[in-house]
Amino acid sequence: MVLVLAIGDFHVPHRSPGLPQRFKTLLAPGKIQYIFCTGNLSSSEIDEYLRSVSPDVHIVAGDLDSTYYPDKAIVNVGNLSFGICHGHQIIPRDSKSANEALRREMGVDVLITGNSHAVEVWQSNDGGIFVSPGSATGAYTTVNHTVSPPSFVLMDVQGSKVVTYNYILEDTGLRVARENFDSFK
Amino acid sequence: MATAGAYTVVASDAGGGHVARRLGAAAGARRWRRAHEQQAAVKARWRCGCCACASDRHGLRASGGAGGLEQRAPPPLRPSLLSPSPPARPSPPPPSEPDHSSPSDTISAQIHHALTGQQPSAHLPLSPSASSLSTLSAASTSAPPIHADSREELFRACLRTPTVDVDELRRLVWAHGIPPAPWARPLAWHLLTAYLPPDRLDWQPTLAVKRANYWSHVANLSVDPTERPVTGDHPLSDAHDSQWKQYFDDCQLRVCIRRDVERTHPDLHSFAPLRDALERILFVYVKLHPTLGYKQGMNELAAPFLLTFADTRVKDLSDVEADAYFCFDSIMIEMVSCYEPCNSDVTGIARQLRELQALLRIKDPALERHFEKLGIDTRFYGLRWIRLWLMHEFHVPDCLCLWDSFLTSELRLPWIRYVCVAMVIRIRERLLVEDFAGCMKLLLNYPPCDVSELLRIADRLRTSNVIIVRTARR
Repeated sequence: MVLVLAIGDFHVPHRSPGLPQRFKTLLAPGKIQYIFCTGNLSSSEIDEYLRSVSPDVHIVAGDLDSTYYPDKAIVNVGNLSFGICHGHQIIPRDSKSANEALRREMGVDVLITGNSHAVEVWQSNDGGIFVSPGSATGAYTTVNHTVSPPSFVLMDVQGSKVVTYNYILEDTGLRVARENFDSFK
Repeated sequence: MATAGAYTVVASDAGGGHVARRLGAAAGARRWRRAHEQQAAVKARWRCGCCACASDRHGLRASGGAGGLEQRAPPPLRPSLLSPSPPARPSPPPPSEPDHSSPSDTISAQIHHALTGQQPSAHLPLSPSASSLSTLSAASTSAPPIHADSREELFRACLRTPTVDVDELRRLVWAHGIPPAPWARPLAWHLLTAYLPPDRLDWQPTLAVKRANYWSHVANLSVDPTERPVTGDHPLSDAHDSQWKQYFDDCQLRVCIRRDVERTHPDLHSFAPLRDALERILFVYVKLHPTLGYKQGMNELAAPFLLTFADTRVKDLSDVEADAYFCFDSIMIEMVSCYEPCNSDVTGIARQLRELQALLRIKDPALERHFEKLGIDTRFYGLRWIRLWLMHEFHVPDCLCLWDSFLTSELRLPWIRYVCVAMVIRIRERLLVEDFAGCMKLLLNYPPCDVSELLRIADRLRTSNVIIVRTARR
């Protein structure tokens, strides 16, 4: 039972003052083993905060990051390999098959991308799992001119299975949605 | 000495002789002196070079618990009482006999040994009847140290009846200690902590039920939130009924317990495989008593049960662990108040310390005035002595002897207080000349001593109205 956090697109301080307080109380140190960040932190303050939550942090470069981060990252957790990419490199933007192609190119079982600011987890026909954690601060996006609520995705990796928990902070409060995925490895 | 053969007279170091002589009657002093001379030759052989301890403690420690007790009393042979052949440990039952017990069932093996144990000497001439200690003392012209063989025979006889007389067992253990056979101490402790009922027919069913009970607790209390996920529950939840929160809290508790378990008896090689068992025992106890929580020191109270019950012949430690849990639970009933944070002076550890100080004031007012003048509060030394039942003050074999006597009483803490006062009084002449730092050094690193003599002193303090005025000079 390994807990992996997928989070990104903070845009602090340009588009948002910081992480919502409710998320800060949720992300207590000592519970999460890995953090995969999709990028666009835009400040070192968020970098330090993520490292205080978990010791193992992997960050990739978004299009608005000034610090150097790698373009893509591949990490093995349990039986599965995870690929992280910001997603502004994927063209066409909302195309599922372009995402599938990137996953096959990276050779990973689970692909984590950001950029769309919409939280979504889906599985393709060839068994790949795709995770989009959305924006952790609910920042606006120029991609589709909407503002989604703050969100992130927590994954519980059990061997080859993944249980995903979508944490969405709506106006009415926190909503958590759980889903089971089997990677058929 | 009021009770003949009250404790096996083992070599005692010179410092205690003063006080013992002061306390005893004249006849007792004569007897003490004679026994002391008898033991002098033995003492010279045993005294090791590095410290003044009167027994081969450093050799004993390598073997851990009960094995060291064999060296407790090698008295001279008295042909009127004993068989001519030299005493030896009773051999295990011959292989032709049907094996009553599975290898993992130590209690069956112990019962088997208790009832049909082989003696190298088939008969003990002039062996007294089972339960009359007075005839034993009458049979001897002057008080000999009771021989290990006849001690074991008495013990066996006490356990042979269909219903064990626990009071008789208590008297036996009080007077003679527990014989060094490996089956003796676990069985005695099971009976003294009321883990096993007195009726021997009930032993097997009780054991089966209680052991199954313990392991069901272990299974139920280890929460795995991924097994049966509850809707609405998520890993970062901090709702108090959340399984995930429970799981993370348990992880933290286990880390806390593990830290202390690693520090328990780090020098004992025989304890290394028992650490996981100790952690599980403490975890189950804390989960079943959530108001108390885990306190440092509970690991020291649980460890001796594991040490004595674990036998090197037994591969399966699960029964040992279950037995140790229930015995630990039974002593914690009394000790819970000593571990709770105490707000009032009337209950808990504060009361124990206050009573300890009052007892010291009654028994040795000069020493107590000296402590008060130096500013040594009972808390400084008494807290650790009482909370850990003196586990940190003596080596493991001596501690087990002390625990034998502690477990014989129903209410243990009053007797433990007497032993603490005896400990302080034993080194009173060294304490009276020291300043604060010196006294604290002596009390916190208690000089090695003979525990049977210590228990004898405590018994004299308890049974007579003696008050220490000054230490006699030789």
